Amino acid sequence: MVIVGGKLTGVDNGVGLEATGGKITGPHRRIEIVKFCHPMPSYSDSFSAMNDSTASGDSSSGNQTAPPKPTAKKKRNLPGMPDPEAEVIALSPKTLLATNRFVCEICNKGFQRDQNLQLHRRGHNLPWKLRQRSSEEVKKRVYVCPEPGCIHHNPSRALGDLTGIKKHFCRKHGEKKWKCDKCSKNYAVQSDWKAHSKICGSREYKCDCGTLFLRRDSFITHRAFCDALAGESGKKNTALAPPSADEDPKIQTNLPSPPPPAMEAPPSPPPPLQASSPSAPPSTAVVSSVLPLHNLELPESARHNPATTRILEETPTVTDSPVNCSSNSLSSNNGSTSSNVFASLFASSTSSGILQSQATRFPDLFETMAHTKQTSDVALCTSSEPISLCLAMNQGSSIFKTAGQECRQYAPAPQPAMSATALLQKAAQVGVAASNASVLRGLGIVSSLSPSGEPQRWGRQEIESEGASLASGLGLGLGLGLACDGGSALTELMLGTPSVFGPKHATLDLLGLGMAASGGPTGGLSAIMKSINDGLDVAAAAAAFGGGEYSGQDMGRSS
Amino acid sequence: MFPMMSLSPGFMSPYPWLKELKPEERGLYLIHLLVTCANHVATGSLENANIALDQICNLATPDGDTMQRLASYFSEALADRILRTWPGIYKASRSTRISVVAEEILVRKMFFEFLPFMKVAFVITNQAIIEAMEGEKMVHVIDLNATEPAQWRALIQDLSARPEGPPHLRITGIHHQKEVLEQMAHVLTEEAEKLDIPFQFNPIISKLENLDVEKLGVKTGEALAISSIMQLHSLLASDNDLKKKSPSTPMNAFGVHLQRVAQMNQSTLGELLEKDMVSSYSPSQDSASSSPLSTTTSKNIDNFLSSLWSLSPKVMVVTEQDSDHNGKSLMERISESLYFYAALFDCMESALPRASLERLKMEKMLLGEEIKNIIACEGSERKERHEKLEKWAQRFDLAGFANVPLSYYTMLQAKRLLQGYNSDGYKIKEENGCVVIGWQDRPLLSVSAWRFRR
Repeated sequence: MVIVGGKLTGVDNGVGLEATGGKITGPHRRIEIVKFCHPMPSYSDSFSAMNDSTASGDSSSGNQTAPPKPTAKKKRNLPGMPDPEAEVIALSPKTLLATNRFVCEICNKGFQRDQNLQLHRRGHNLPWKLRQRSSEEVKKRVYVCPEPGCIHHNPSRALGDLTGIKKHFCRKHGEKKWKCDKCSKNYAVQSDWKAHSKICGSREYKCDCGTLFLRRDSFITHRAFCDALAGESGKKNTALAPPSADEDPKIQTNLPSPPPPAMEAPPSPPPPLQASSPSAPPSTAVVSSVLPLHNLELPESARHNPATTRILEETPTVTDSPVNCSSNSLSSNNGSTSSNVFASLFASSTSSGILQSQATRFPDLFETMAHTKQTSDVALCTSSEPISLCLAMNQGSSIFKTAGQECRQYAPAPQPAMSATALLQKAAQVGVAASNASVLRGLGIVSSLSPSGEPQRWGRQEIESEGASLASGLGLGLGLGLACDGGSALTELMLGTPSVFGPKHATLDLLGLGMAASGGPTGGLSAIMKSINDGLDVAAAAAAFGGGEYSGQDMGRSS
Repeated sequence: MFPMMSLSPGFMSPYPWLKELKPEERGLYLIHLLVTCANHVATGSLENANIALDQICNLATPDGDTMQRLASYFSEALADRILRTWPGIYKASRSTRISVVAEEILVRKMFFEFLPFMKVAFVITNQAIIEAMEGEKMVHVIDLNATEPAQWRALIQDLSARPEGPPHLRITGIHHQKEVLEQMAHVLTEEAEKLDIPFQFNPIISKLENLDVEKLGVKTGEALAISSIMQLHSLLASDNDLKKKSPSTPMNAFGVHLQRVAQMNQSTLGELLEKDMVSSYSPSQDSASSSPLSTTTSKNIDNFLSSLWSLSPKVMVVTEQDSDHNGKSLMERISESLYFYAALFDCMESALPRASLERLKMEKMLLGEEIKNIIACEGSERKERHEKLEKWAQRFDLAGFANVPLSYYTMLQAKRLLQGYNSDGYKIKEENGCVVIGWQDRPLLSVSAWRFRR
């Protein structure tokens, strides 16, 4: 900002600035341009013109030698990649954080810059002196962050703006003193906080699943993948994949880069199998959450082309073939179908029974996580915490603060869905059996369980021949033995211990066995153990013979 | 249309499809495998446990994501537990193990630096001590595990800055390693000299369970403060536990147990679970332990607490892991510790990159060792007997201590410290005058203050 006659004006076309030849007169409104403290925030042609004509012109030496900047638009370096010839300035944290270093001795009013103080002193009729802009060529200044571990501590990555470095320091290495009162966001820089509080709560988008968004883009992205909408699309598109609900929250919280092509196949095979099951309507939206968006057509094609679904169904392991198969039908099914998909994605929906449980479960998981954070934050922000008290509180924590600051350079790793805590909660909620089933489903082996707990007879019959032999073929005694053989037992488990699932009963949850509960589940336990033994033998046999022939025996044992 | 490759034996690695699992699926599968494996270990079906462990090892790795790391340490602990049933094999497999004291000290230092827990504990402890010692001229502080000089250095500084001037300060540090105490003595006396306050450091080289409180040299007329950071739980082995040894049921024939399991029908499974095979790992039911909050009789801790009580401390600040890892059955401990250490591993993930050697060391030497102790050890060998705050409060109450609510200012300092760690995960809350620090909604550490009560 330019100080003109004691008033602050924005950058203008030089109006009001006159080359007075360097004389400072007392109450005269026009004064010379004082030394710039930092580069101008706005870079317009007028600015550079002003620079040329006035800045150098006003210096007392009156020299107009080599205007500091070319008349073209002022070159602005990329943030963090400064001009190599710039002067590097390293300020201490104290200086950076100092708000009012220059204090008037009469009235104790604080100012950020000496010039402002001098101007103020005029009002007290005190002698004041304004420094002139230095006559030599103004050197570009860049600033480094004093925080040793910070990337901007390195002069080659210095920032070019004093305000910028101040804000950076506060944001990254300072404590967040400014708290939004509407939501739980905290800010270290007052201007950030102000900017946020202007928009906080001003516009809200609400998804049908109940999640609130302040930004339109995140709302739209969420809606594309939201479970709640799937009900509507599920009614239309019955042949679509139900990915494990596991994959859903992962997408909701973070939009990962599209998974490698091989991974696209897993969600697609299971769906067609559940196509005829009325009790588990899948969701378009959820599928598309797994596949990258350009593959949205895939489930579409699966829906419309039974031949394709057959193909997809029979390639349970992850290969590229499903993708290839679908691409054939892709071409045939473009156009109207894709618009259908998008229409269903953005339509509001009424969810069916299953999806309701699915839909509510995972948004709830994350809502609880979000709410926990919020409520605990609310607990933290006690109203009577004066900032001055915070600043004064160095006594016990002085030793520890500096060390703590060193730890902040590492950006936190991804996302709640991947954290061990979240996985455990999911496992406890979904139940160990179902989570196992979802793993297998993801690989094209549909377990005989759906989250509803209904054993799907047809599915089981169809799959057993494939799944069991596949399982034995791969030599797995343990995991798949559970799915293949223990179908009824697992259903029993699921039905038998529904109320036990919940974080409070952690002991029992993970087992899904309810060991301390009724005797019912012990049947399941013995069945599992029996099946494990069967699986063991199967594995041994499979290792020797390759498994395909033994599917019959598997089924014999499991019944 | 089956891919024929999956049917031929020996194709690629044993489980090609495992490689294709997405991290989240892999994580869930690991949890499933761990629980299944633990169940097998608890029931003694080693063949199945072996298979499960093999599968886990295909997926888990100490330098993967948090769930993989967690699973690798838990599976190692389970394997350790199994191995202990063959004492000869177990001992022989560890016979050439070297433990480097310097490494241990270093890794504790790393834990202090990179994670906030120790610092928060120190800040709260110090503040509670300072507040309790207002107006006292002679202050004696006993540190039940004197490892980190920074705590007392800060206290010295704070005490020297108090308005009424510094007191005459004595600090008694207890540790079983001489070098650690020497280092602490050096740092603290230097600091006290610099600030010119009368100071004396008494080192006591002893393990906590062998501590003789007479030797602590508590004098009449001085105000006593005791600081216990994650120490008391090692004394919680109940009388029953002490009678039993670590699992040593001979399991010489694999086949024997398999057959027994296979022959079990539904009705006898419940009995199986209670048979010696399992119950040798857990003491028989005490009437005292029937209610959830009742504490089992444990001579060690009761004696220790009463001997501390006899010193009539003005304040005793206790920091403990706030989770129940002292359950009788393995499965109880596994599920509680899974949640607890999952949260801790998530903390690590938020604090350091996956490639960090410091993180690896901390996870292995601190967290991994704790996990191993909780899962693999029994009886007197199991030291990491963490319990929830309510249980501790009961014990202290029974031993004659009254709660000293931690002040608002203390909370504030602790909160500020946590905020400085720039991670949204750390949570802190106040509970009945005590402070609980957690990660997300999992409580991890509790700090409480107690005083002598007549």
